[in-house]
Amino acid sequence: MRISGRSGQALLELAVFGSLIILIAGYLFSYFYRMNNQQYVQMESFRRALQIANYGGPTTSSHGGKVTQLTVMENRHEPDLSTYFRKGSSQSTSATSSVYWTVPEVGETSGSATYYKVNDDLSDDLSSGESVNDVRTSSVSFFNENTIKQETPQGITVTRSSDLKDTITTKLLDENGNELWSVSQGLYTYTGPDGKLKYGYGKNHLNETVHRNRTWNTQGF
Amino acid sequence: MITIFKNKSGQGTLEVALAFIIVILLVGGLVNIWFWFNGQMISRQVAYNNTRVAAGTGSDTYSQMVGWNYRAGSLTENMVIPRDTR
Repeated sequence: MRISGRSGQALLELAVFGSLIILIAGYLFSYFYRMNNQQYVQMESFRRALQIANYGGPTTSSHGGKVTQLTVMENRHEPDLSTYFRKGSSQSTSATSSVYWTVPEVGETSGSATYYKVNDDLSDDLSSGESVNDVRTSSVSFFNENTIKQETPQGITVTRSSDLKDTITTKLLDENGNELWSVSQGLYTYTGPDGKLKYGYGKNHLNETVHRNRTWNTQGF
Repeated sequence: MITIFKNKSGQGTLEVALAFIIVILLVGGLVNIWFWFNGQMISRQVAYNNTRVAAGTGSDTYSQMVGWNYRAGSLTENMVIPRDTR
């Protein structure tokens, strides 16, 4: 590339190739995000499997210990720059942990437990019967965004609001396609332990609508 | 654009020197963000390991699951492009 007078040639090239640096930065941030989610889900799956194995079930009432396999599947809702920013999309991350921690009664054999935790909800014990061969996920989203702009001599007031309803259905199937367990979960928001707004999916929040609203003013001269 | 010589010799060198500083700042900032991220991963793993006994044997349901006491540190401007070296 060449401009007249050749002044600013190197800076022009920096502007062109600078977009490459921005591209690398974008890739790096998305890599951070994926790795962060993956680490969290791996940690969670092992901890939950450990506790289920220790107590022999998801509640602390049963004792004795079981050979436990737990799969955790998390849908993290995140902003999506390619569509409406507030609509976002969910990225799925999963991890499986197996824990052998059992001390059966004398003369008895070790029990086993297989669970799937999909977002907020834990499946039934799937250790008896057919094993899970396929996991099918489908989602339905409704999104609506409104912008109201009011111009007066005193200034300009802009109000943007959005409504989002997102439902994810997860089905666990055996090798013949028979359904072993399924759950439909709705998107909701809550305040996390760090005081920040977070998104979650749960069957108790089906048909909930996430409403967001923001108003800002520009003073007139 | 900055022009220091009338015959423009050395103009390219001057611009490359300016551009080089900007590129180094950008790349250095990215590397520092990368270090920060690695630090987060490690410190969370340490918090996770420190709570392993309590989480495995605790009677309350999952409250000590992934080391809830752990809070991710913030990424500050000074961490990306260090200015205050004290």
